[in-house]
Amino acid sequence: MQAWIRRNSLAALPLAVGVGLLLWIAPIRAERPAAHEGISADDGLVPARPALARTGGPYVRSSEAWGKAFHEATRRHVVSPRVEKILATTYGEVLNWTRSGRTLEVGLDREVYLVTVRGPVIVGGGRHPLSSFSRTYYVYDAPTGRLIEWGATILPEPEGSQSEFRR
Amino acid sequence: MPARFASITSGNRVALVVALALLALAPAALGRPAVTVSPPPTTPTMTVTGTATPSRTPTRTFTSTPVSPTRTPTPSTPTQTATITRTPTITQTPTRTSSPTATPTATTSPTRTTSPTATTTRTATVTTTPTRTATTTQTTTRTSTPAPSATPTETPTVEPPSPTPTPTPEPCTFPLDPKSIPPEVDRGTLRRWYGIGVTQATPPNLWLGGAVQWQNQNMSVPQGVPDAFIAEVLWVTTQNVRPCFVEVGDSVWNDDAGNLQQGYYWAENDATGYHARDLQVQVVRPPLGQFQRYKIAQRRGAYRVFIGGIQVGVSQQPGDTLHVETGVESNNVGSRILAPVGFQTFQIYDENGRWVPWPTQNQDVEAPATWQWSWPTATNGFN
Repeated sequence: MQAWIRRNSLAALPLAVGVGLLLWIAPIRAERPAAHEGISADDGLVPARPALARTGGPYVRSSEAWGKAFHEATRRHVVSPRVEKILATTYGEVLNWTRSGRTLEVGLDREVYLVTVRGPVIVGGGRHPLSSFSRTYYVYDAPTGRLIEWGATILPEPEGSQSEFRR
Repeated sequence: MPARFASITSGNRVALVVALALLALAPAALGRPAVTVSPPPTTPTMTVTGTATPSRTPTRTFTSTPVSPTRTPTPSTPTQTATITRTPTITQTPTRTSSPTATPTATTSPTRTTSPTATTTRTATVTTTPTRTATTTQTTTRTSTPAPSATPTETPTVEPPSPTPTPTPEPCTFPLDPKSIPPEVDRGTLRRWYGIGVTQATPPNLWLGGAVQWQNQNMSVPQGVPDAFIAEVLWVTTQNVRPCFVEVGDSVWNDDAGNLQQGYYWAENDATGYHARDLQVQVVRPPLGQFQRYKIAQRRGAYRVFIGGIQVGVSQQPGDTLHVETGVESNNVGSRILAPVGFQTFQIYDENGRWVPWPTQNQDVEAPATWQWSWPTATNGFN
C-alpha cells in the first residue's frame, strides 16, 4: 500500500500540472481561430497577391498597343477615332488617373500601356442611359499585349510622355 | 491510519502535498483566469471581436453621407413620393432635354415597350419626359410673365423662382451628344434585349449589394458582327440611383480575328464614366451546367466584386443600392444561349449587413430573350 501511495503521489504531480495547463489553454485556443474565420468568411477569398505582378520585361511594342487601341475604338463605334496618347506606365499610375475602381488581378506595379483615343462615342443604352463621351481609353498588359481594361470617360488627357519602357 | 503513513519519507510527503495542492488549485484557477496567465491572450481575442463590430458602423456612416445630396434634388419634383421607382429614370431626361436628340431617344423606348413585362419600367421613362417638358414650360411662362410686366414691380417677383428649376444633374449621367452617333450606325444597333429578374429596395431602407448564382452555359454571337455581345450579368446600382452601378458577368463576343471569345468581366458606371475590366486569370470556370456564384457587396466603404468566392475587383463608389438585377443582355437578336440557364440563390445584402432572399421578384423580358420565375429559382435563355 505504501508503494502504491508513493507511486501515485509522484504520478499525481505531472498529471495535475498537465491537466491544469490543458484546461487553462483550451478556451484561449478555441477563441482565436473563431475570430479570424468570422472575418475571412465574411469577406470572401481575397487573393494573397495579384496574379499579374511586375515582370521587368520583355514587353510588346507600343505600336502594337496603338494599333489594338485604334481597332478597339473603331469596333466600339468611336466617330473618327484619333489616338491621342500612349503611355508606358504601371497599373497603379493608370488608377491615379482614372480615380475609379480596380481589378485585383493586376498588381499596381504591373507594366501596362495606357492608350487614349479622341472621338465622340456613345456608351450605355438599354436599361442604362445613353451617354456621350469624347475620350475612350484602353489599358494593355505590356508583357502580353492583352486588354486589361477599357473605358469612356470625361477625365482630362493623362499626364506623361513616355511611350516605351526603358530597359 | 497514521501508523501506516509513518514509513513515508518526508520528501514524499512534500511531493504529495504539492500534488494535492495543484489539483485543488486547478479548478480555482479556471474560475478566475484573468489573475495569472489569461489576461494577455484573452484580451487580444476580445479586441478582434470588438473591432469587427464597429468597423461596420463607419461603413454605414460613410455610405449614408452621399444619400442626402442625392436625395436633395428629388423633392423638387412634387409627386416624387408615389413614384420612387422612377427617380432614377429622371436622370435620363436632362440628357435628352439638353439635346435635340430627345425625340429619337424616345423612339427607342417605345420599341422596348413591346415587351409585356418591360412595360412598367419603360412607361416610367415616357412619363418622365413630359415631367421635364413641363419644367421647360414653366420657364416659358416665366419669360412671358416679365414681358408684360415690364413695369419694375413685377421683375423682383419673378426672380426668386428662377434658380429653382435649374436641374441638378444626377451622378453618373453624361449628356448625349448627337455628334457621337456615327452616321454608319443604325440606331437599331444601339438597342439591347434583356431577359432579367429585377428587385428594388423601398427607400429609405436601401441595400448594400446583391448576389446570385447561375449555370455556366455556352453562348454565341453572329459571326462577322464585330460589336455584338451577349452576357449573363448581375447589376447592383450604387449611389442610391439607377445610372450609377457596378456589374459583374460572363460575356461572349467576337475578337479582332472574328473568333468567338468568352470571359468574365466586371464594370462600373461612376462619376467619371464607364470602366470595364476583363478577367482572365484567377477565376475558374465551372463545367457546363454547374453554378457559378456572383456577388457585389459594400463592405468597409467600397463595393467589392466576387466571382466564385474570389474577390476580383473593388469599386470606390459611395452610396447604397436601390436595384439588384440579373440575367441576359445582348445587343444583337442573332445571339444565342445554347441551353436554358438556371438561376438560384437570389440574395440582397440588406441594410443590416445580412444576406437575405430577394424581397420582390419582377422581370424585364423582350424576345428573343426569355426569363421564367419559379421562385426561389428561375431560368432564362436567348433563342
